[in-house]
Amino acid sequence: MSLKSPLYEEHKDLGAVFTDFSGWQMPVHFGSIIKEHKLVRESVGVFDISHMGVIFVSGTMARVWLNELLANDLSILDTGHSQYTFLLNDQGGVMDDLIVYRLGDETFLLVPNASGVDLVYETMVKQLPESDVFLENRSGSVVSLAVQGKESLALMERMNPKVKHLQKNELFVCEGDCDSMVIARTGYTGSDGFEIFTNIEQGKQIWEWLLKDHGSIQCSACGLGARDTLRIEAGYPLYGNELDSSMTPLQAGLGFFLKPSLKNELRAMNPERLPRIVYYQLLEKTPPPRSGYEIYEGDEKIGVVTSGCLSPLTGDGVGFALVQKEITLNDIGNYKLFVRNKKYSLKFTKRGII
Amino acid sequence: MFDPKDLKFTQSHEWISADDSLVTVGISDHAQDLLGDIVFIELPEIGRSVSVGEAVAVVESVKAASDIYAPLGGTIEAVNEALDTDPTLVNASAYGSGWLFKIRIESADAPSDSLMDYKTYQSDFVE
Repeated sequence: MSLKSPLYEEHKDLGAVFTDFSGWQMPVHFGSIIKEHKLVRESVGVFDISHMGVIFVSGTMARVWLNELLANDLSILDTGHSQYTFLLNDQGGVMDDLIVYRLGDETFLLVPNASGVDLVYETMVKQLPESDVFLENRSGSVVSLAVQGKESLALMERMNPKVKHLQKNELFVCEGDCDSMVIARTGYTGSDGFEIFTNIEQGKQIWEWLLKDHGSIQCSACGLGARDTLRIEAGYPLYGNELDSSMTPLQAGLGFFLKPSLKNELRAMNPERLPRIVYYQLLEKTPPPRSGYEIYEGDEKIGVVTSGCLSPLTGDGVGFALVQKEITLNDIGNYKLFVRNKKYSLKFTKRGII
Repeated sequence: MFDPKDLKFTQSHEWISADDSLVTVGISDHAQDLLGDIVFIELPEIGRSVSVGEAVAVVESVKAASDIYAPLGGTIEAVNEALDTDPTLVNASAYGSGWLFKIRIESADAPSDSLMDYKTYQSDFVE
């Protein structure tokens, strides 16, 4: 049985092409992945991300307990701010990556991946202290929207003028027509953007409002296909591709998001940080790099593509690879991508191209 | 621009212009619609001899790479070089400027029985 977004019928009416995403029937596009990608970079697009998990945590001990549970340093997260973090297993492997929003002194919203929400919630329930921390898993009964793109601020200001005061990663809780909602200046596209979390009835109203004619601001619905190419261009990892339970955040190049003490501990466990996730950029015209394609240094296979696409902005093949040995960043002679027995030169770089 | 009603179709969604020893090959409008935005096309080398059912080209959309099979045996005589700079021609005009390659039929072999006319293709594979 597949799960459906509360906005499924709305997507169908817009002519969405659906795909299975972690058990959810979600729109992969509404006509063209490339057009939707470019819309975000040039104007603004709206994504239904209601498949993502939504777990509320509250109580006098919520902050202290979450800080023990999660990998980033929650002690420095003020109310009205959000933070990228991980749930790790005993070996430091990533069980899921998630965003924590601090809604109030003692109230937090956790947004794990659709694929990870059950594991995250079960783990939390098992480790829940006897008192002073309360969990509420509202996954599946919340509408989550990502309003992303260059013009996202201009559009969101028409909905709520207060959004202009939000800096990146900041948020506020406000009252809508029928329920409160969270508006955060967050996203996963590499462009400016906002995310909205609210109840189903109000979410439907907001979806409809966002897609009406806004005059000079061009805005359309976008699917998960564009969300994927946008995050690849921006150099953001995806759980299941670049992150999994066998690798630490350090191996994925995400040590910045770890508490200093944990970072040192994980570094000591695997000083070489191998295998490791690295960003690559093709140096010549290539077919789209795809997960599973091999990367060679001379005759030696050194890695495998975990994500890739032809950047809709530049046409370059870009993405992530898992490499088994030390590589040199920006070396432009040695590394080749193999596609159907042809070799294409690439370089490894520190981050995405956006 | 071909009229699809004049073309023959394969079960794997290629079309051919029939009734000539030099046949043009492309993919159906239905196929380009299923694939979505086409971002890369790998075409065969001119002069390559191909047999029926052989994978000779690759059409890649954002999400998937699809093999294109030779609907007839023969020699590749021309390829659509415009696709190298603009693969979306296949999306825009599957039966016109989005053609893929031309095969010179060398023997008098009749086209395979599995080729269908437009009406059969539409009713069996599209609707």
